[in-house]
Amino acid sequence: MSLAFAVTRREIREVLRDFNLLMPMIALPALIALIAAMAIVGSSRGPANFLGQAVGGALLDQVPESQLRVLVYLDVHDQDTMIRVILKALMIPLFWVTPVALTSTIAADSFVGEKERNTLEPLLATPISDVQLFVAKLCTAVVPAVVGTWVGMALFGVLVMGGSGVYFPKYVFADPDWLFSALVVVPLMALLAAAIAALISTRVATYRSAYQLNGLVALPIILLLVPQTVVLFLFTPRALQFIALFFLLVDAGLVWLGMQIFDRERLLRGR
Amino acid sequence: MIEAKGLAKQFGQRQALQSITFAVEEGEIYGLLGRNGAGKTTTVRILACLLQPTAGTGRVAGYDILSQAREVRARVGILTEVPGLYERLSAWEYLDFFGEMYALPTAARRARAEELLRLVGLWEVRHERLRGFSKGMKQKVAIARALLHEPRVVFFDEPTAALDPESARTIRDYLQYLAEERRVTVLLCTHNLAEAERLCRRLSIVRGGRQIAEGTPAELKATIGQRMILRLRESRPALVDTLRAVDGVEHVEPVNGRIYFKTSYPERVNPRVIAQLVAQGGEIVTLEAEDVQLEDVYLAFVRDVGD
Repeated sequence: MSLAFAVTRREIREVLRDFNLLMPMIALPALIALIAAMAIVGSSRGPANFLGQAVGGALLDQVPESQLRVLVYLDVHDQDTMIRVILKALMIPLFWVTPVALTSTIAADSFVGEKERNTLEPLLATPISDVQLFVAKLCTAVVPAVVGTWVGMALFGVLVMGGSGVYFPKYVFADPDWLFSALVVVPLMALLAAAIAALISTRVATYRSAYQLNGLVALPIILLLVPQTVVLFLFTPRALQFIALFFLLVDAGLVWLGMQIFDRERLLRGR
Repeated sequence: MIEAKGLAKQFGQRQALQSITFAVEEGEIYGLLGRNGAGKTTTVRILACLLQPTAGTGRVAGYDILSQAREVRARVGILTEVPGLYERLSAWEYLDFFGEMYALPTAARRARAEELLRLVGLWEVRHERLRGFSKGMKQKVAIARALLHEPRVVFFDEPTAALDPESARTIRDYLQYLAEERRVTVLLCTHNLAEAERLCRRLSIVRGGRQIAEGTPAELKATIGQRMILRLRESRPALVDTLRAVDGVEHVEPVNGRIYFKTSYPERVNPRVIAQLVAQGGEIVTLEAEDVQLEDVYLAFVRDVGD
C-alpha cells in the first residue's frame, strides 16, 4: 500500500496548494463551529422562557401518548434533560455536513479533475494496482475532509468552553456521544460521500459535472439525516451506534461496488 | 523486446485497431507512423497495459501484456500525447513522486531526477511550480518522467513535438544513446517523418486501425518505386514513346526538358532504358535517381490505401 500512500500524499499536497479547494476546508468547518457555538451560548442563559416552553409543549402535544411512551430513556417531564438531549441531537449532526460537503469537493477534483487535466494516463502507466489507486483516491477525499471537520469540532469545543451553561458540558469531547461522532461517524460519513463520488466519476468526464452530481447526492443525505438523527436520539441513547452501523454497511457496499467498476480502461475512456 | 501479435481493439461499435503485428528487438528504435486517429496511441496503450486488447496478444520486456500487466508497467516508460503534469507541484516534486511510484529508493530517484533535469536543461528551475512552465518545458519534464526509472522499453508519442530545434536534437540524440549504448527499446509514434527516418531502424504505417506497411525506411521507399530523372540532349516525342514502351517503366512525365519516370526495379530497368534510347538515336546527358523521402512513402501509403 506504499504506492497508495504516495498517491494520497501527493494529492493532499496538491489540495493544500489549490485555493479553491483549501478555502472551503477552512471556511465551512469554521462557519459550522461558529453557528453551533452561538446556539450553545444562546442556550446557556438558563431555563427556557415562556415561548420556549410553549413551543416545546406544543411539539410534545403532537406526539401520540402511545408513541410518547416509546421515548424510554427520557423523562418527558424533566425539561432540563429533554433540552440537553435535544441540543446534543441537533448539534452533533450539524458537524456531519462538513465531511460530506468537503469530501464531495475534493473527490470530484481527485477522481474526475485528474482525468480532465490528462494527468491520469502517466499515473495509470505505473505499477500501481486498480485497488491501490481506488484506496488512494478515497483516502485523498476522506482525510482532508475528516481533518477539516475535526478542526471545526475542536474550534467548537474551545468556543463552548467559555460559553457553556446548564445544558451543555464544559468539555464537549468528554461526552462519549460527541467523541463517538467525531471518531467514528464523521469518517464514515466522509467515506460514504467519497464512495458515491467514485461511482459518479466512472460516469462523467468533467469536474463540473462530477461536482454538481456529488452535491445532488450529498444534499438529500444531509437533509434526511439530521432530522432523523434528532428523532432517533429521542428514542434511544444508542442512536449514534445505530447510525454508525447503518453507514458502515452502506459504505462497505459502495466501496465494494466501486472496486468492481474502478478499472484503468474505464477511467481512461472517461465513461 | 516488444511483440504484438494480431492486436485488435473495439470501442463500442468502432473498430479502432485490427490485427496489428510487429516485433521490436532489444535496442531498436521502431516507428509507428499514421494520421491522427490511425490507431498508434491505442497500440501503445495496449502494449503499456493501459487498455486490454479485444483480440491478440503481446509481450513487452519478456512479460505477457494480459497476464503480467504489473510487471510490464514496472519496466516501461511512456510519454503520452499530452504531458499530463501535476501543475501544482514543482518539477522536482513531480519526478520525486513518480520515482516513488516506480519504487526507486530515495537516493537513487533523486540522483536520477537530477541527471534528467540537467539533461533537459531544467535543473535551475526545478523548484518552480509546473503551472508556470512553457509547453516545451512541460514536455521535457514529461520526457524526464518517462525515463526516470530507467525502463527497458519506452513508448514515446511525439516526443519532440513541442520542443525547440536544439532541445529536439538533444532528445533525439539521447534516444539514440539509450538504444545504442543502453540497449533500451523504443517505440516511437511520430508525425515528424525526418525524425522517424533518422532514428528508426524499422517502421510500420497504420491507417484506419490497420497496419498497411512495415519495413526499414529503404524497404518502404522501394515499395513505392524509384523516381528517375532523365535528361536527353534532344527530347523528341518518339524517344518519350520509346521510354514508355520499356518494360518496367511507369508514369513517364516530360517536364521542362527533363523526363521523369518511375520504376520499382531501377537496377534492372535502367540499363534497358539506356540501351533502347541509344538504339533510337537518343543522346543521354544524365540519368539519376530522385531522392525519395520517407514523406513520399508515407503519403503514398496513407493516400492510396483505402480504409
